[in-house]
Amino acid sequence: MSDKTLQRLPLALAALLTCLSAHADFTSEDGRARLSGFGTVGAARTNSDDALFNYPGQGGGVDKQVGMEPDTKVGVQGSYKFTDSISGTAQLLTKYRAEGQYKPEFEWAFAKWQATPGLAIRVGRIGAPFFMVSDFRDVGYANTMVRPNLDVYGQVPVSSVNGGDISYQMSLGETVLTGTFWGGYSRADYASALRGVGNAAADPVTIRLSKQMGLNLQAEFEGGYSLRLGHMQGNLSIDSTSINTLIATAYAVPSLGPTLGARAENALLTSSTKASFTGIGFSMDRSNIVLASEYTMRRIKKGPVADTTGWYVMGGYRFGSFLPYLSFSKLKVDEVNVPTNTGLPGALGTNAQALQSTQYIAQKTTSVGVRWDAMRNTAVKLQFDRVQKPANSNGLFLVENPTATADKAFQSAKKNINVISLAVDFVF
Amino acid sequence: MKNTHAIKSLVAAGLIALTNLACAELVVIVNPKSPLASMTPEQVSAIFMGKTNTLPSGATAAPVDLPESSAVREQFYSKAAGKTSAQVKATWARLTFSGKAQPPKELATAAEVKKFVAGNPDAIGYIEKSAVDGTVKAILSID
Repeated sequence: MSDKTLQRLPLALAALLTCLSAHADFTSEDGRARLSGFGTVGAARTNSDDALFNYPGQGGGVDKQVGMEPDTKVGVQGSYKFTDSISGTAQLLTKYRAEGQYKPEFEWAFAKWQATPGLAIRVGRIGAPFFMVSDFRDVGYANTMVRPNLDVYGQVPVSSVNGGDISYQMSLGETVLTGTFWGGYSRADYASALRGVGNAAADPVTIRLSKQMGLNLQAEFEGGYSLRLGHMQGNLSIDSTSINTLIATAYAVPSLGPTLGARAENALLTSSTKASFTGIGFSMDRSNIVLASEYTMRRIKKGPVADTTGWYVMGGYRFGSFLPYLSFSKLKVDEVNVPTNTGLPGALGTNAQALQSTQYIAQKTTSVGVRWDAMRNTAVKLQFDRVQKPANSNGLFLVENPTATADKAFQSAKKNINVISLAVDFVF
Repeated sequence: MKNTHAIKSLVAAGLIALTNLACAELVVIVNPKSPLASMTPEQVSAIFMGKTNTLPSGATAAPVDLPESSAVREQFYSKAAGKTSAQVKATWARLTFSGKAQPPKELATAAEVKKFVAGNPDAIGYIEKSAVDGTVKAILSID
């Protein structure tokens, strides 16, 4: 066991203790204040030391050495009802983040006004509803599989939005329809592609989505079927030390500076470019059959971030407290929005191409696993994933340094990587 | 031969009696002042599973649960919603941790549920049929 693993053990133990000692959430005497939480203690490993497996954006991951980083997390959520219609909610989530450390962050901090039984308005920091399972994607207990499908959920690195939403819910017979209009500003840190090269470049990249507006429509039918449509658009900006340094270096080349600088910007800069995300989802939970599927499209107008399409289909069957499941998914790069030949000479060209290459993320995944509802608040899951990445793709794997020979070899080869994960999810 | 048959009948009768013992008849109760005369199991389960927060009368529902350890609660969810307690817990985890809704208020005993329903015009709860009295109104029977 490495020193790093040892450092992380206290967190895992604390999480496990919380799980065993806290058997119920807390509600104040008058019912106004409520405290609840969730968490996962998870361990995973792969059969390859070529690259790291993680949730896209995390500043580390697992290879042949078992690690708890990708899945282990703990969240605490508190809410207070000021009146019958006005409440406040905050959620603090600690997980392994872009900096390569476990860090707590406020996922949510919002005020909600339930104007009428059907109409609700929320203002503050809310969950960013890009997907069918946006808000509770980190709550392992509330989900069938160990983690949200990365081929789909790995396309968008932000999970919360500073702004608000208006949602209206109505019943048509036994069908419940919900429409939500949301908007705001998001930012998230993302592990730098060059984090393995020197300290300056290792700062996480900052991703900003501004002027976001989105609409989600959901229908829940009688008998456990539900259908969801979602669309959002906004402006994407990426602030990366390594990209900024490369562009500045290009501009500084004597006499050719303006030309090379413009080429470098064209190849690598993402600044207030139009971005959209569209998804359709279906889920079913009826007479022991569990089904879920999403089809999603990411579109970016300019810059190195690729246009992608991601989908998954997951099915399971409940045998008492055991739920075995199977899932297929694919992440496809539709279009890289920059020319593959950057027109930059020497090291500038090599480095620019290496940075661009991290946006070649195509892969497909086959997963089998089982969820066991071991106790009232605890689920245990064992999952096996086979991730197939085509040639000239990193998949969603994190390489140490995309300019290094070994990492370039990983990118250019077709690879199958197996991941095995064990997770204990709990709510309290 | 005849004896075997008699024994079989006896065993069957015993099993039926046992089943009845394990599954006493439940009723869904509301405040006597509530305009509701009856509800379907689907309508009741929609409220207790967080699908809607509105009673068929249009008022915001105030649902009330028995503790997780209660056999009556387990029977209620399995019969009205067709869900095991683990499924109910996972559904509420989804709603709670998406900030959409909070699970029903939990009270320790049937007597407390009755008292709460008697004192709140929009309350809805469930108790064993044998515990019903004039302070509450039964609108659906579940057995």
